[in-house]
Amino acid sequence: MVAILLLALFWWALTNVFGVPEYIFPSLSSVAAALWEALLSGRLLDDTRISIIRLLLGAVVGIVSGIALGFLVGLSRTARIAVEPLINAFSGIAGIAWIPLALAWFGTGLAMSTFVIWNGMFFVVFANTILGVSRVPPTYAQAIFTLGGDRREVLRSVILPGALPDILTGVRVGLAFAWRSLIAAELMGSPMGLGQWVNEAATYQRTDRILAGCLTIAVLGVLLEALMVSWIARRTVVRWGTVAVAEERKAR
Amino acid sequence: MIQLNERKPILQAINLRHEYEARGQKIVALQDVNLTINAGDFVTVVGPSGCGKSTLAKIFAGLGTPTSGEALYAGKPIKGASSERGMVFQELAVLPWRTVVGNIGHGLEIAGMPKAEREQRVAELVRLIGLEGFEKKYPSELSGGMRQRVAVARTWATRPPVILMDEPFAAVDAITRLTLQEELIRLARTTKQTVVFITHSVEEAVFLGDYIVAMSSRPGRVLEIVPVPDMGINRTWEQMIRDPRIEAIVSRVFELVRGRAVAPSTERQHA
Amino acid sequence: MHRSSSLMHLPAWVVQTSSIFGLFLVWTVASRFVAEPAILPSPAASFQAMADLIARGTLTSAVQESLITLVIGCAICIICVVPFALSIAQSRQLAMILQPMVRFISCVPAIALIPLFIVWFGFSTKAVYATLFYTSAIPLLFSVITGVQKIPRVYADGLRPLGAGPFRIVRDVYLPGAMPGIEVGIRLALSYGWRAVIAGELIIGSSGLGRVLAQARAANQVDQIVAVMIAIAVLFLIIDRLILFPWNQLISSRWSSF
Ligand SMILES: Nc1ncnc2c1ncn2[C@@H]1O[C@H](COP(=O)(O)OP(=O)(O)OP(=O)(O)O)[C@@H](O)[C@H]1O
Ligand SMILES: [Mg+2]
Repeated sequence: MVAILLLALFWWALTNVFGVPEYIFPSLSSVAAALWEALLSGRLLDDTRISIIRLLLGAVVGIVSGIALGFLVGLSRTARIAVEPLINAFSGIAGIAWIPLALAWFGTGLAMSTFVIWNGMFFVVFANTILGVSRVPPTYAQAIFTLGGDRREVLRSVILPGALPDILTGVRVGLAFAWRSLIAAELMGSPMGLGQWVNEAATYQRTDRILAGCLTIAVLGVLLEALMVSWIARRTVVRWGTVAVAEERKAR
Repeated sequence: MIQLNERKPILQAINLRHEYEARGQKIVALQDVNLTINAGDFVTVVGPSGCGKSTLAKIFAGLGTPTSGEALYAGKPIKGASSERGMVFQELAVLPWRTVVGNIGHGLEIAGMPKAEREQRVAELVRLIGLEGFEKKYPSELSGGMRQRVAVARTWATRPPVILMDEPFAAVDAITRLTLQEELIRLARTTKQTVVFITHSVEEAVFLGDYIVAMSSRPGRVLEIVPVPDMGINRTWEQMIRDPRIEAIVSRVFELVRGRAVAPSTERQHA
Repeated sequence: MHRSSSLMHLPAWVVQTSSIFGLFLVWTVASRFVAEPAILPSPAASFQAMADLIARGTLTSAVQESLITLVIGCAICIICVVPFALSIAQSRQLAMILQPMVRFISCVPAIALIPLFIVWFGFSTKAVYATLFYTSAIPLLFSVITGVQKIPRVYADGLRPLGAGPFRIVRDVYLPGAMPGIEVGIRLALSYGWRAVIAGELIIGSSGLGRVLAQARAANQVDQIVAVMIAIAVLFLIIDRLILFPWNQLISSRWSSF
């Protein structure tokens, strides 16, 4: 909180004391004015809503497929070894480098954004699920077997909660990754969305709007993560003590 | 549950041999192990670290297949784990994401016991291990010793005919351990369950066991089976340490275990 | 304990080679099935496109441009950030105030700032440098500060009575002590930076692999798009191997940011 205030002060000083011109770095008040104006016109809300719908759709597909396949692969050592080079290869092509291909394949519609976000999330969630599944201490599963549990029971009560810390890390990193990819995809030609909003602001050289957009994107990114990951983490892994509280704080 | 007459073999090891392969090297963990444990016995297994005690327990639990030889339960070869042979693990294997009652009741839940009955049984066990007030706590909020007591109670809850306990009290403080040992004897004797109790403490082995299986270091072999005079269900440590017969057995087992431990015969072959 | 299947005894490289082979097989079959090179070119067509791009010199010069941008940009970043981070880390209070500020700034993705950089610097490589700097500076700053804070206080306190001035303390204690942190920071800067360079070039279209990608996209040359993507992946893997990430660390960190 103090940090944010200091940052605002620094910003104010930058434009009002050192006299950095508005068109290079707009003042706090003009960014606030731009935000207010966009909010009143309803445009910002529309763009935000569209970006969030796109993100959620892609994220759900990415998370579900990443976890499901991660489980299938993580449970077998051979499969784990086999996918390692594939994960390496695909991690080398960052999410954003896929956007041209996605545009060629799907045009600029919802299918494109879903693909880009899925692409941004899938491999991270997949890789981390594999890691999580392989890191669950084998004695946990053995103990459940001696209690009469079958493989299904082990999957449900041992592997899933045991892999959760890593899965959440994957989702957290993947979300940040996907959010950036989405903004990039919108910048590069999706109709509407926050990225497009910033893009249009740039064509008119409206730096105040650019920054207003950036702030919105940042705040939404933080909120999304807080809602989708930290909330779950606090109720599960942090509560169980399988992730140190400090670590969870650091990750935020 | 199979009805077993007392004094009938319930667990048997016949010419058991177990090898581990680690980085192209074979390590013989168990060799020529022959052992018969009768229903209702309280057996303690003692031996130096790395002599294959955990390996033996896991084979009996059905969590590992021996390289050669046979492991039998009630006369039949052991294939896979089952709720008939419960096991308390050396590593703290209680699930961190289940509360104390969640962990203790897990086996009953798997067995499909109705909730009300389960809760009652769990509450009894919680009282027995002295964890009242900690029912809703997660293992990370407990001390190591408390966690291990939860592990014991979890295995005990389903009343399996055989209980394999792999150094269950290693992390418990010395004072609590005394109480738990005395409790364990009473419990096992009343329920007539068969207990295989692994430890590297000779005193603990002598205190608890009807007889002691003394093992040698790599490759793990059974050196001798030492019977212990029955001190009764209500034995206490104070009573045991004063008994000269017990003292003799303790020094005998020490001799056995240490005699081999000084010159371990390692057997390694390149694969 | 050991339910071994016969598969488990295959050496890792056999399994891994066949899985890469499998990927190409799936790709080939899929491209046959789609039968539309403008949507999914076959591996052969993509490598042909790559060969053409190399023959024309487009790809080689683009790779050069991108790598030079990465190296120079990271060097500038290191020269600016490391001394700054070292001096901030001297004071616990300063670090405590500054870290959350930087953390807050870092919530703004570099991608969203690219339009601002374009307004500042035009559609030029300078804007790519700005993107790279913004992306790499933050992990570098954090790693160095963490590195310094891990150095036991007594090391510096032990030197002071010997008459060591602040310069000597930085040289003899903080710099060597923070070396692991600096090292991690540089690795992160390089690996995040590479993605920032590609993304920046792609959106700004000034130079490098990103521009070739953007041009291929504009011309709807999907085989070229795929060829450049392969080049990006291979270069990333080379950079990655060169800076030698241990596998564990890599899995969570390599994916973040870009
Ligand atoms: N998974 C494994 N892979 C390879 N070697 C193993 C494995 N588990 C055990 N061993 C080896 O087998 C031998 C016996 O191990 P085991 O765990 O059964 O010993 P232990 O008697 O239980 O020892 P402790 O008292 O320390 O628990 C040891 O030499 C050990 O190094
Ligand atoms: Mg052991």
